[in-house]
Amino acid sequence: MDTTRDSFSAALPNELALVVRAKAEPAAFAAIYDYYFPRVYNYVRYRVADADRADDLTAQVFERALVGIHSYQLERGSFAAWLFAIARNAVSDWLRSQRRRRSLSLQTLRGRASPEPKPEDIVTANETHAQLLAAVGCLSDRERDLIALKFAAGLTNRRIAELTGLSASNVGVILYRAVRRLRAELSTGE
Amino acid sequence: MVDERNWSYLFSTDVDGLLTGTGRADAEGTPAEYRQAVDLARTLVTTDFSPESQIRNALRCRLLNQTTAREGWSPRMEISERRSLWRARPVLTVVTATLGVILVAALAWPSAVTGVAQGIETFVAGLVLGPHTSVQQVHPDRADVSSTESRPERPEIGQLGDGWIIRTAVGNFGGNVLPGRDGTIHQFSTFDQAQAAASFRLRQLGYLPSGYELRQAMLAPSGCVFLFYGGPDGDIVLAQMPVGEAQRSEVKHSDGVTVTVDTRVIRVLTDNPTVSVTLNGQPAGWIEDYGLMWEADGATYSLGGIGWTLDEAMRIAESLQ
Repeated sequence: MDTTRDSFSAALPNELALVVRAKAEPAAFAAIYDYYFPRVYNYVRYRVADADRADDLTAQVFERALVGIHSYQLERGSFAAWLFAIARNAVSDWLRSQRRRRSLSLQTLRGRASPEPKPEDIVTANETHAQLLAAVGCLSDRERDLIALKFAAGLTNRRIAELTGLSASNVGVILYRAVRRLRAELSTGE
Repeated sequence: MVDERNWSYLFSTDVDGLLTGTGRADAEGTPAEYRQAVDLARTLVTTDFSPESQIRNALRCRLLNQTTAREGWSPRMEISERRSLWRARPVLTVVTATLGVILVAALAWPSAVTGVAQGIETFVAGLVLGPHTSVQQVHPDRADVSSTESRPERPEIGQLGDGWIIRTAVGNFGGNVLPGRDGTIHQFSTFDQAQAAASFRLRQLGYLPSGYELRQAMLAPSGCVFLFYGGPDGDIVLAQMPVGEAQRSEVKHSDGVTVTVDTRVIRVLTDNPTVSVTLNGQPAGWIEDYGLMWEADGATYSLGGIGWTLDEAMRIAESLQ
């Protein structure tokens, strides 16, 4: 199942050389950016759903990567794993800040009815994407994280296990359960 | 539980097959619930939200501008790359110093442009003109060669080291020749001839100052096409080259380093003052004592003239058709 690779998606040609050069050359960083932007954006989008927020967090990820690329060391893992660790941290930081804010706002607004999104507010464009994201939104944070690391980042179960502290076999089990739950959510909405 | 672990193991195997593109077409012989999970996994693998991003290009430009404006880019790394990946520095430094402007036209892979900046640790300013085009202003003191070299009235083709150089009235253009590639610069007398030889759709100027007309064209080893318009105040030179994705090929250098060529980028070094302007609503660079550069529709354009003001250059550039 898992090989010694860290990710399954088609490799960026000369990735290691590009990463080394990116420490000294903007054009090399541009090539890395072009390759990884969709994967990072998709990862973030699965985690936070909101497109504007996904843009903000994706920007944070690449800005942190640009600053930190000087310290990237191959011995500590693939570049993809390093980059998605940054993405994971950025999303986790934001989710934590939202929980704090939500907690504060719930205390402030105690006694009010919790607002539910109105059907007419649901955007009809990109319906499939919206449905998928809505279904993903029903999963737990951990399941969303694993779905995003697997299907957007394209990481192996072994690498996901290293990032999350789970065992590789547990990653497989949780992913399987999460996809079945996702399937059930989507069926409900059909 | 054991059963679920077995199914999850099989599921992971199937998902990995989807991610590598080597998976089986369907999960025949498995329960419907399992097949539905694999079908959904297939959807997840192929779903791409990124076209919905509103920041992709703007963020790219911002990040690249941050990198070019930054000082002290790991000079030790550049020194090691100079040996391994770039062997034509004299060409480029000469061109950079004498011209103020250099089209790094032969550089068909992102890494190669690193070589242009070897030894240059500080950029005065950097402009990103598009996904594959940037201008970097270096301090004149960083130039290795005096810029007093005379500029010929008519273009002259030359060779420096393993690179090519075209000396013109507006400055010199140069680049290296990838190993194994033809280093010939082809010359034409008409636009149609140049178009027939070029690998992309050429554009020409719709407006020319009084007394100007196309005199000759050249095709450089990199695929860059130069149109020379002769007139009473000296040549106008329009250089154009496709940028972005290119046919992938492997280039092996004599020192054993193999580089995959799959992207064309243009990076211009100049020691002339450079400012950001807008041309047809898109970013462009105005390089004093030279002219304009910009990227549009998958190509980079460079328009140079003698003694131009920005307004004159803009009027001519806007007429490109």
